[in-house]
Amino acid sequence: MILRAVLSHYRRHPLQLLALWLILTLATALWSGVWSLTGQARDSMTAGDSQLSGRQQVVRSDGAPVTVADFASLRRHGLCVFPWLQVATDDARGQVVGIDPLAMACSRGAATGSGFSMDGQPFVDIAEAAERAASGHSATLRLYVTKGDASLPEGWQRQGDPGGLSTGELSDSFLLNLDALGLLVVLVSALLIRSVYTLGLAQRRESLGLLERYGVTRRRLRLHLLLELMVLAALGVVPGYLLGQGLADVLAGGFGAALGNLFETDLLATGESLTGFLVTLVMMILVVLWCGLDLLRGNAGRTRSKAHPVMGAVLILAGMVLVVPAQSLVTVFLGTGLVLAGAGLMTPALLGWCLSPSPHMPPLKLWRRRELGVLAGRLALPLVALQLAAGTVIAVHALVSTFEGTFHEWLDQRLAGDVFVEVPEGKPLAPAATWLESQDGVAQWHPVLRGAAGLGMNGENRQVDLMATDTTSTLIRQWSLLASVSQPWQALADGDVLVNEQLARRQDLKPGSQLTLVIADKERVVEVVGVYADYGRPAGEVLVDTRHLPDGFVSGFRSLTIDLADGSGGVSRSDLVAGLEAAWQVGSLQVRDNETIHRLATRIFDQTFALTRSISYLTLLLAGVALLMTGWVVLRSRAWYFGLLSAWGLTHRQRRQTITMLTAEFMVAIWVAALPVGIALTWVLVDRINPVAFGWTLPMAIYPGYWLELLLLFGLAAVVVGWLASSGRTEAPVQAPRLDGGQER
Amino acid sequence: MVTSVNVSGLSKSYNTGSGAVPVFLDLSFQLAAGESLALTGPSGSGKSTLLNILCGVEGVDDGSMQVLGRDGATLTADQWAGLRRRRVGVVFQDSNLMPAMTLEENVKLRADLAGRSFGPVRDWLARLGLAGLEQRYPDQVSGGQRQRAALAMVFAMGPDLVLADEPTGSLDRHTARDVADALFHWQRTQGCGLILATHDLALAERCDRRLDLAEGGQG
Amino acid sequence: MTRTLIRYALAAIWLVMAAGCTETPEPEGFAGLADSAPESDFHQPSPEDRIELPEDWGPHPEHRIEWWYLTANLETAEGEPMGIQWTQFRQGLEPRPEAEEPPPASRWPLQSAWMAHGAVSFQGNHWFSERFARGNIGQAGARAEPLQVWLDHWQLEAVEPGRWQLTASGESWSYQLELVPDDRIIRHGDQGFSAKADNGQGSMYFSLTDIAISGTVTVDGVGHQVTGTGWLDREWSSQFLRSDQQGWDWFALRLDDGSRLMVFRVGRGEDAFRSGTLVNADGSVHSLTRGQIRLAAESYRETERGDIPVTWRIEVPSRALDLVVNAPQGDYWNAGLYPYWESPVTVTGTANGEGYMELTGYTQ
Repeated sequence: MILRAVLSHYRRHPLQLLALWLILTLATALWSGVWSLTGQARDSMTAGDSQLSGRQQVVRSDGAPVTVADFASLRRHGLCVFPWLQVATDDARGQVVGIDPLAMACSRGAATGSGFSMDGQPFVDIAEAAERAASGHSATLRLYVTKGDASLPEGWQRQGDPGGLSTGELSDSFLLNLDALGLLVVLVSALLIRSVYTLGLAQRRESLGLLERYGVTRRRLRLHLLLELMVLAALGVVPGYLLGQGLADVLAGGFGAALGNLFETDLLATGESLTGFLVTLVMMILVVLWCGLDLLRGNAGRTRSKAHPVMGAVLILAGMVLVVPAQSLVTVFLGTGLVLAGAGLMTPALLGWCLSPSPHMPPLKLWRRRELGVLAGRLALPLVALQLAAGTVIAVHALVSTFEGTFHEWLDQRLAGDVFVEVPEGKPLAPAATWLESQDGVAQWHPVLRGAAGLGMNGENRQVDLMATDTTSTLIRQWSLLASVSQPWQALADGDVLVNEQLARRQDLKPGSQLTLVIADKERVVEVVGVYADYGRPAGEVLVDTRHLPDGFVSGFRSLTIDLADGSGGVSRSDLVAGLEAAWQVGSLQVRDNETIHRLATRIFDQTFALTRSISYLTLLLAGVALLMTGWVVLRSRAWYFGLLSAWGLTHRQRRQTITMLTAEFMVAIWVAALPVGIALTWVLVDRINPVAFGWTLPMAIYPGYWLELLLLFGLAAVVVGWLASSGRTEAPVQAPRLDGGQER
Repeated sequence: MVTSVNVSGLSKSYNTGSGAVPVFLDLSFQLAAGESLALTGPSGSGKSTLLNILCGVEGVDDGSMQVLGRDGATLTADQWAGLRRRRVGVVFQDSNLMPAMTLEENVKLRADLAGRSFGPVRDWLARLGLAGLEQRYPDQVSGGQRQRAALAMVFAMGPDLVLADEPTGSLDRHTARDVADALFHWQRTQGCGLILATHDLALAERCDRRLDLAEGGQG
Repeated sequence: MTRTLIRYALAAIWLVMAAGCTETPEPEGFAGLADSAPESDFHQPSPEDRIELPEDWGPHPEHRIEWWYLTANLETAEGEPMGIQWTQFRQGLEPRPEAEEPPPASRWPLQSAWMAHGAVSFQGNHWFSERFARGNIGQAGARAEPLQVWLDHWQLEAVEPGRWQLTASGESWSYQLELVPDDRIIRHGDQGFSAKADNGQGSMYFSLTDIAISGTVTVDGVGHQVTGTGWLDREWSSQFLRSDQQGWDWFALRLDDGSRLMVFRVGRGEDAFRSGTLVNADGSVHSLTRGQIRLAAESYRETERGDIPVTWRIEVPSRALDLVVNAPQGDYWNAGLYPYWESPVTVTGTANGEGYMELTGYTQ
């Protein structure tokens, strides 16, 4: 009976019930979707990473391409090799990768066992791939072996994997930031649920008070309310979870494949659905408890306190003290969390203060300001949620744009030229050089030699990677440097060096720094003339000109980067390969078509970025929906006073304008409040998390054009809410509200 | 005699699910400038509806009316709003004030809308016994003080006609009399028309005339 | 027989796992595996089928499933008992007539998939590994004459007539053994057709019950010289286990009096299908039917995966046999894709002896 009375509120306001359920469901969907997406991304990345770091190709010593017979022989020798058959396709996928699921245990470094499943495209069973290959599509079979596995039998040898493009830490960093984003999403949605709930509760206070006067104990009442909330949460969590999974599936349809493509690795379907569900459930329980806490304390709907702004300021300060000098990720995350919490606590009061009217304002403007103050108080939680959500969206946009720019630039640098050819083991460069110089169809080319060098620093000798190339090549000179002396390329050609950002940071090197470089036991003091970005791996690297390599230098890996002449003058790729094969007198060459890889990588990353953006937009959408719902409820509760404006002679249009102006000011205020949050978050993501985690930074960029887009969106929302609040038959106020002490200011 | 309000043959009914329910039929009365009229009758007799009609918030089914010399049939919604803004003051039983604004700010707002200067605002408040309470918010003063502030707002706009709907309905007898005193004193000195809907017969007695809607609306 | 059914189930589950269906909602990514041909396309064994040797040592591409299954009770130089197992399974995904050539290896065909299990049981410890491979590309296969059955570097091979070599290794175990098979082929059931259910389903099944074994077994880096006797089962069929048959228990016992006993039970309770073969010391072979065999679990051992009956009473009243079968201390789960219990056993009662026991359907 009591339950019926408690629930009777929703009989009169079914929309409120629907709204609460909807917000619970949507929030769950967001959690489970984000959980699933980030989890998926992380798993595939981990799998990809372990394989990249520990994977080598097995090739035949006689240079002939490997076949299925090689595979069988190597397996019969007890080697854990697995086949990888890449076949071009005509469709948009570009290629499929044939794998043998029965052999894939080896890809994880496990010699035995199976229980392995994969994510579908681009992976197919190797028989299917072989069938395509047989029907005339170009195909490459590779055999991979785990690093450190037993020595190879006679007739085969190991080789690095030139086909793989390691984006290594760039992707890691992206994933880390995706995690941080996921955390924010949870925070924001928790705020939203709570705000919708407490607002609804505030509206029921009268009827609940009535029940109390009829003799229902407060304790009993709260238990009923808690029960009601839990039932609603339970009803929301399952469809929400499924919705989120569906969403993740749709969004990740390309995502899993994208990473798989990029890393040429399997994607483990981790069977985490149960964990994901449990995590979602636990989060929901926590949020419900958070809402319930107020119920039990009996101060539902009144969460503002004079101490909040002070506490907020203290938190922000504490957070900054943590973030700025932070050396560990945990500290950065913790500090950022404190700053966000502080911002959340301060914002409503700060807005109230900023919007406080001056005594000389025109009275109607003064009225708007005063109403704004009321809104800021009543909608404190959804306001903060929307502020954080918008801040997140701004940060994610900046981050993604930055990543995009960086990634493309990096790709351009790394994939300069049209073709990348590996110099066969034991063959000198000279014959190829002669042949290339004789070809009109070759626009330009340069060699890249990789090896090791010693770095004499403070008396100790440190080993770093060495990259040597022809630094007069225009392809190299297109590189943009992070920092440099005035004529870096000339200095480089004269014998000085460039270092990558990792090395520069680690050894505190700047353009102009001196260091002792030891190559092939020959020591020489050189000047650092520039620093270049190098996102692929953690190792420090020194770049020198080939002309300054000492005679005894032995390179670990040699390749040629070749730019073909455009148009009819250019040689075809197959002619080029044939020419080089003839020059070196070898049967087959490892050739990488940079354009294909470039296209593939770009497509993949675009997809990934689109996904990340969609997560942030979903968050914004949820926050927006919550704000619309709560805003509408709050504005409806002000209907009498809006009616008074009519009674005092404002025309319908004037009233609508006034109210829309009110909502617009409110939204713009949130937008303004979101900007510093967004900038701070961007800064933390780009300038704190990356250096701490990886040793390099991304360029920090802000995008005011995007802020304006967001502002437009907010403005649109304001018009909608304003329209809703000022429409309907509110000209003749029929029911005056009760005045609540202290609720209006 | 200059007429403030002239109503003739006014009919109004509400549509409910089971058909039209008449509120009043063929109602006619006149109000001279400076005259006060009490609308009495039980709940549901149409007092509030009539006030709404007289300030243009609700329409009528039949009949004609003139308010402050304007023909009600020809007035647009915006013209009605203009009348309410400058010439017709409305007082409700409660919640006449914007809750987020001080008493003074409320009065200023009303005066400003009516195009009056803010100057005498404090005077009006002081004259209504609200001196020293100017910076209080509506929920920080008593119900009687709120109603007096509502009167101050009406006085500040300087209307030609005041429509008051149970202006003392939620006050105790003593306070009610104080508020009524202020209202009638002002109305008489300003020579403005007043239509006042009330249950309170004593209050109705203080008006120049009385129109009992329960008796069929014959004034 | 029980064991057959275990293997049916193993194969079935394995197929599902290999096809990646259990966790991946869209198995079409593995079209080759998922589009396995229906059971009816494979040749069904019947009582009319006969065992032809040596051909039947080789693979049966017209049949759906088959295996080479060796268990052995060995003894180290110090006299400590040791058990070893080596099994190779073939699962047909697409039947192929015996006479027809398989598709070329370059097409990475997936007509059949192979799985190998290897295990060592010693001093209460149990080591187990499994491997997988696709057929027809050389990575795994079988040949009748001279005998060779292999998957990766694990293999059973006839190095000369009457002398075989078995090699296999896992993470911390390996063995290299020489096998001298006896020339007595035991055909189970009706001249090799072994019924598995009352409805006439069954498999082709023969065994070598006395294989002299010697060689080296290494566990945890320590090599042991071993000698002993092994039991090799060869079986092929096309049917999976009926869905109403749950759990199976199989025993292969060598008794001191020179007799050999194989019994199995399919399902649990009174309705369980029981069958067996008794080989007397004089070499006479008797098929045992359900009514002739009594089989009861006497005591259980708690293990991580479930309670396992480790003591059994097996009675064949018509042959005056009343045996108690005991598994040694330890945990003998083959914890692969589809876990089952495989342990050496000792026998007491009307005769003493040793052998192997295989149990499935006890997982929690």
